Amino acid sequence: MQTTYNEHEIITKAQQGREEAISSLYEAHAQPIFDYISYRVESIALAEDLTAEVFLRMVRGLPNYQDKGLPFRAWLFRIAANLITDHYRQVGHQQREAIPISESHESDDPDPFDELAKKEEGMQLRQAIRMLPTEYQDLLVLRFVEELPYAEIAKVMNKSVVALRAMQHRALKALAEQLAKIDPEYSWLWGNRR
Amino acid sequence: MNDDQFTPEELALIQHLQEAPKQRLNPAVSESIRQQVLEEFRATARTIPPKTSPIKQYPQAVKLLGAIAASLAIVIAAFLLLKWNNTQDKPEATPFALALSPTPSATPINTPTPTLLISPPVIESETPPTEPEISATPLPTESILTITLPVTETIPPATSPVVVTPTETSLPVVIVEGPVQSIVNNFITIYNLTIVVEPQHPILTLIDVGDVVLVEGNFDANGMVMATLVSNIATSTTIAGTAASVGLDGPVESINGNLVMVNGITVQFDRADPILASLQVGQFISVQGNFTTSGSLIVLLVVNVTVITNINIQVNPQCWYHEPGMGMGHWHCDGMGMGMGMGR
Repeated sequence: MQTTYNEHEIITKAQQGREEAISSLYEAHAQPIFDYISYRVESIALAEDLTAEVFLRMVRGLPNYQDKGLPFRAWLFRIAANLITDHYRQVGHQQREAIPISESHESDDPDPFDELAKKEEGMQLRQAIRMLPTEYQDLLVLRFVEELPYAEIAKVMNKSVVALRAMQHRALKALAEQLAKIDPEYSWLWGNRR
Repeated sequence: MNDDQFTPEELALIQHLQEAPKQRLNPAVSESIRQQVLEEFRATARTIPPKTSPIKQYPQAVKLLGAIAASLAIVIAAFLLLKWNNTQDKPEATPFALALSPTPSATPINTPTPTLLISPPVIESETPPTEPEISATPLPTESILTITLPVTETIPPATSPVVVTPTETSLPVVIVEGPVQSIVNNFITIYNLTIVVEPQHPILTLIDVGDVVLVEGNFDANGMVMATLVSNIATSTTIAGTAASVGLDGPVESINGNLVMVNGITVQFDRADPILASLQVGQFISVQGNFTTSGSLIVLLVVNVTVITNINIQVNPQCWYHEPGMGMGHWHCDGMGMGMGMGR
């Protein structure tokens, strides 16, 4: 986020009906929101649909949005988290492990072999994350992928910072276990068993 | 993460997470979503007025309210002084003209219950004075002061005056009647005056922009009117000696003892009301009454009710049912305000 990006001012303008302010908010947050959702759901198309829904809800909710000191993105991530929860509530959990993300716009790496390896690793990581409990998924992605501070994650997940700090170790351990199940190459991550 | 303690394995995993390729949002899809969002924004902007803070939204109203508050303070002070003088010496009550300015000299007014009738803002000329001028002329018999406030900006003509009735023991009561300019959450705007209604009050589901409503309330410290009564029918509506402030028309949705649900609003009948015995779900009724608090519920206490027997909503193309959005749904007819326009 650039230092010249005065989000409070942009939000105020958006609440006053300025279209370019909405565009700015979308521009600033679309990619991180999509990235977060794509870790949590099974397909790119679904991640795109949910991303669109996040911003539609943002538009509908903006008149009532109140700046309480936390970055705007915390509100958007919370909307996204709720949408994902709703999605899985509707479809049930049977689909969660079934369909890996097949299409990708992940990397611009020119080396095709390296790109393939990274893509494979990325898919394994996403697959492993999606097999974790929901709270672990949110915490790992928001903390280590999107690099949100604890205060914002606490707002998104409705947890205390202390609880999140304690949970992250369990989440990392669970992720290491899942990765090792998918590919024994990762076994060393949870006990030097390689 | 600086203050977190991680094992080497955890750090390796965190690094793995951080270095994992990011999923990129396809530019074409992103642009498509942006257009979708902007369309939604335009649609929302058409139905919901832009949110601004009430103070910023009504600088003119603040000026006007400041002038009203100043004039009220002056008149009340004069009234109290007069009353004190009356106890010392009873002068002869004669007609007189009183000029008030922001720093007036106190002039005795012989009136036991003064009532201020403040006319709607009037444009006096193309170049009105920048500061409001206040002049007051008490009528000889009832001691009513008519105050005219020239203002600097154009205000829609009012259909009814604003009446301010100060008493010795309470804050001035403000009465505003006019068309609703906007409804944002529990904030109603009439003549650019912000009126705050209790957030979950059922009246909010009964009124729409353009409806003429009457509001009673008190000014708060921010110059907003805290509504104590919002009426969607004329206050002069009196049935069997009891005034009704709210009109509600719609089908009976449920009946529970003497509580009847109409358009999502709980209507409380007198338990002895004979209509209750024959009332059935689905019947269309027209209710006039007053909102009152019953426990944690706000109910419409019936003053008068009429069962409409010859109405067929389906064949009236001008009527439709407002789907519940943030609040409850209700019937609306073109050009008739709420319900079928009955009782209005």
